[in-house]
Amino acid sequence: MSGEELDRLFRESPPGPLPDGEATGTAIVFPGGWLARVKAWAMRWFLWQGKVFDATTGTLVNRVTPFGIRAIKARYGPGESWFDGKPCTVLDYSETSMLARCVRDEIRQVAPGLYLGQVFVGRKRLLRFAVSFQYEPARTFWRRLLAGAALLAVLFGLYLLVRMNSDAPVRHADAAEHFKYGSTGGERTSGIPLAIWHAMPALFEDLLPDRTYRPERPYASFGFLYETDDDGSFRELPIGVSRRRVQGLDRVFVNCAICHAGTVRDTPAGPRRIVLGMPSNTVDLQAFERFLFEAAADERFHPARVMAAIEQVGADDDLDWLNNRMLKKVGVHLMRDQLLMLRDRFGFMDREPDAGPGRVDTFNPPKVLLNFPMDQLPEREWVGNCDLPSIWMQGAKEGMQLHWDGNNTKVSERNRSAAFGTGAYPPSLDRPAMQRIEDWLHDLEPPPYPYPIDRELAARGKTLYAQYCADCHGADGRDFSGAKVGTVEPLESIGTDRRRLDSYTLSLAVNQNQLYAAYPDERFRHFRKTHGYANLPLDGVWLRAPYLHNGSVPTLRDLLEPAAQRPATFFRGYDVFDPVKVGFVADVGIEPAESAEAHPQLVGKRYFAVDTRERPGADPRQRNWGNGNQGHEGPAYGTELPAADKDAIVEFLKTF
Amino acid sequence: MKTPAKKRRLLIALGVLLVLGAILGGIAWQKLFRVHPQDPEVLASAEMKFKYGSLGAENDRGLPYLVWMVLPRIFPEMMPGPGGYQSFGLAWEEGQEVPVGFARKTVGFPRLTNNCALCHTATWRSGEDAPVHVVPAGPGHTTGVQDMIRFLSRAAADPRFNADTILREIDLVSSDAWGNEGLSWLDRLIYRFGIIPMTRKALIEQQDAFAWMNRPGKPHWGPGRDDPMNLTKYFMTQMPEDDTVGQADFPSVWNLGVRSGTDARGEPLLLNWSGDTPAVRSVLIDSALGLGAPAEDWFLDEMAELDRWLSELPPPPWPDEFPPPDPALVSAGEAVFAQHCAVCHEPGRERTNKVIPIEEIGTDPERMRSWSAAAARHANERVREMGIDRPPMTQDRDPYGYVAPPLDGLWLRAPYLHNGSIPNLVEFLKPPEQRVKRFHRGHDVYDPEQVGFVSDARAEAAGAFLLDTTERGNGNGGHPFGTTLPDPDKHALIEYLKTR
Repeated sequence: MSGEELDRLFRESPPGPLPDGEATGTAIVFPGGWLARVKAWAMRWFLWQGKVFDATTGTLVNRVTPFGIRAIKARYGPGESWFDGKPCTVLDYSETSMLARCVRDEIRQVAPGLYLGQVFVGRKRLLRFAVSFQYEPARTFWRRLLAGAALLAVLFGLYLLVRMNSDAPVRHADAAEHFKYGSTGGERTSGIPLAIWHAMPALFEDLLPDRTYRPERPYASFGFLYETDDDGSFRELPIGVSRRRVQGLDRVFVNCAICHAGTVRDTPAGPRRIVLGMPSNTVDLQAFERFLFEAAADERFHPARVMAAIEQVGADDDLDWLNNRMLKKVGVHLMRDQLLMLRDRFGFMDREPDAGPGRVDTFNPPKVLLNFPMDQLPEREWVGNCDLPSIWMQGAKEGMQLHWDGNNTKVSERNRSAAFGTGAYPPSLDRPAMQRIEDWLHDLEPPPYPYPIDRELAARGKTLYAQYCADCHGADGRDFSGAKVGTVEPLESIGTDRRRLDSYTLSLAVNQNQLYAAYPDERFRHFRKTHGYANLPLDGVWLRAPYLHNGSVPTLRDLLEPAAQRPATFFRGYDVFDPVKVGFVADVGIEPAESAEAHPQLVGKRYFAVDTRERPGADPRQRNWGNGNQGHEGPAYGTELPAADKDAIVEFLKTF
Repeated sequence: MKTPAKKRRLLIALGVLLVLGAILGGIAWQKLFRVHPQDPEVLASAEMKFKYGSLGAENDRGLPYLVWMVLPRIFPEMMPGPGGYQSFGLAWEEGQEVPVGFARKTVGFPRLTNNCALCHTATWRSGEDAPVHVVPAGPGHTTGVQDMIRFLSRAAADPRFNADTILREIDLVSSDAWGNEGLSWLDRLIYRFGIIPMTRKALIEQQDAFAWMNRPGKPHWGPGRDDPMNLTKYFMTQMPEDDTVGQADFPSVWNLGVRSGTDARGEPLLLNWSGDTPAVRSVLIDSALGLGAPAEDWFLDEMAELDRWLSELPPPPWPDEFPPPDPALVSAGEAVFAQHCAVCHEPGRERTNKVIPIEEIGTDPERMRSWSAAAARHANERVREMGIDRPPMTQDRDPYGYVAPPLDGLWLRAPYLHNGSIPNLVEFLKPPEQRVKRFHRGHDVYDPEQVGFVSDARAEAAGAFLLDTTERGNGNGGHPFGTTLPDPDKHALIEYLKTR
């Protein structure tokens, strides 16, 4: 029936007896048309089911929401219609309902037990409705239940949809904080659930390098650096670990700072000064990876044990019921599978000497990313260990041959390539977050040398430096001009250990071109196979020990000696500075007792012994491949200068 | 009886359906068929077009680019070694998204096809630690075409070739999940239910079409070779399978000007190893059709342009990285050449670009036997059916020998003979019975002393293919000419040939 037809019917109908009892309602929104049924059905299921009249008191209530809740009271009785001025039954909400005080309904009986109604809001007719006493109210119970369940399911589905699409990194207003703790997007695809992150060192204490679980600094065992908040309490996560809520679950993963933030101490008991942008001299990333892999392969990596450990360390407080169930039912298994897959793929690590703190194998992991058959990798590619670099003043380095072997000339490509190390794939990389770091690093300068400098000696060193070093390493620590700065020095002339160079191949270079292939503006175009090592600018060189691409020479003064006179073995990972030889103190194999009070987390810490001498043997991890400290020597490299001249050059390098 | 209202409703419903259909059709066209031109850098020069330009085979042979890209990551154990598609010996230039010989073009979705450069681009380097040089139009002596075909078939037949696995890998490359551009859910649906299953089906069908090359007794092509006339027979003419084997080296296709036209007596110069075609254009067209190119006008224009470019493309000179040829020896060698070789190998001479009868040349006859006058007639017929007008292949007599080609850029055309059965010129000038019987080919380090690619243990260590000349079709006998010269003459001749 059309609207006019309905109105005619209303006009022609008597008021009928006062209704009493429970009635089913049907709203008539836009009458007529095939949609009417659907609309009526939808209205009844979700909004309004009907009215309950009580003739003894002259009041009624509406049944609303899918649960048929009785709400919105009205008085009713005979009255004069606003519609045509004739008698009808008036349902008046004005005195009884807050919500509907300007509503007035009028009904007339159109058939026995069936009333047609008009709804007025203010004095304006809004819509029509019908109430019927012809149905048994009992039948509607199951309907209500069903409707309720359906609505719940829809709401829950909506909630899940929102939750599962959630993607909220912890944001940091300050750029340096963002560098230390901000996310590059790695958590999206590679994130470790925060609760499991907290539980693992407790559950697998025996797998930690020093087998000591420290509740406040659980990952200090790997050299990860924990800062304190203003109130003196330790921050939840170390530098280089970021947090993001993905799919409703807090996840963590590493960011750029895990490899590019280090510490310096003046004395063992002195404070550790954290320097952003310097190589992470204390962080042993490989030990961290091995910890994760070994834990995954351990029988304790099982939902029951992991959930218990989560409770034990109190990390369950942040887990809502859903996350708790999800972790227990699938999360732990998924993470374990993922780690075991990675453990399998990273088996190449066992063919090279341990990297130790401050070093990583940079270019075998991209081969893993491309899933090259690593078991067929030629022996010459096996070892890619090299020092973590400093990343200051990137603006001045644009266009130089970057990476130790100078395999790329584009800062942004180099950065996107490095972002894989933070778990960020082309679709999951958080581009604005990355850009923010790039912008900050564009101009970030290293801190000045904090110890005394003999200006006279440095001035003499400057002359020698200009003569011997400046062509390849720039005029000074800020002026990078020099004919060969940022270009590759052929291996024949530099003569340093070739393993890192050989680990990077033409076939990898060309395959890298496809890593960002779906994003034409970002696709890698500048990777090249080179045949030497790049001449780097020396900004902040005092913080970049140990030296050479493989960190095989502990101090600057040692680097100016011929290889035969350089220390064949030394320790790395200790962060007390040696202002005489310029570098970190390299003969300390275990943290001295005097620092116990200032740095309790370092008590008993053993530092990593670097052995630069290649050894025969069946176990590749013992062969010291890639650790050679030869090269960068001879008359052109200043290693045959008188000792006093070398001292002078080192003094000048302190000003960088 | 229909009321006006009912009629109106019917009309409205019809209209809605039409609009919906148009929208769906538009989406389908956009997602599956819309042709986007290739990147401007690809179309920028004749050389770039040769290396990366599309021949228009997307609908016939195109592989979905993203699927192709992730296959080596899904099936690493089926790969020849680390290095993705590069491990098939493909020339892959630094900075380029795909290897030489691959054309990436978006027809609805990004697709990948092959072009001439796949088999006709050479790579070489002066040592393990030297940069790789890529020479377009040179013989693709490292390209493992057969390995690549077999890889695709094996992958398609593997249970891991399914939408879940492939899309999971593609997700790491392209997905708009985090608001970054990439495959949308609609694209993923199209990949899941359309592109991936259809690709699988096509690759499995392709395996059947290539069954003949995997039969027992058929030698591996190895890098740098294919079985050109059998490919023509089974793919272009659909002739019944026979027992022949015809594996042959990829030839150089530079400087084609000296190979085209007619000789002084007006007889056509012949191309293909056994002189099967009398015109460069026909060889180009037939080869491109073999890659799935459509017979359309623009295609013929492209072929004409390619013909012009290749006709004038100079062969690469002896590289500066090596010691220059000794001038005195070169002039001595020139005299030897004039006396013993020029009649067959100097452009314009009587027998150059002509078939030398098998009784005289004596080289392995299998390649010659893999073609026939009947096959040529079939092929000519087939091309005519396609509506292409090109000089016909020789169809009046069966092949009876091998063509004596000009020796331009000879240094980069190793290994030698039509079947690539002699690794270098020093071996070439030895009497047939003294030539090396087993050597490795497909390594791109060049040996300027022997004049050919390194083919000994160093090549083996690099994973190069072992060619056994005692296998059928691999024989390295014949061409006895010059093998009895005194050593100083041979030495001088080789020095002279470096300058060709």
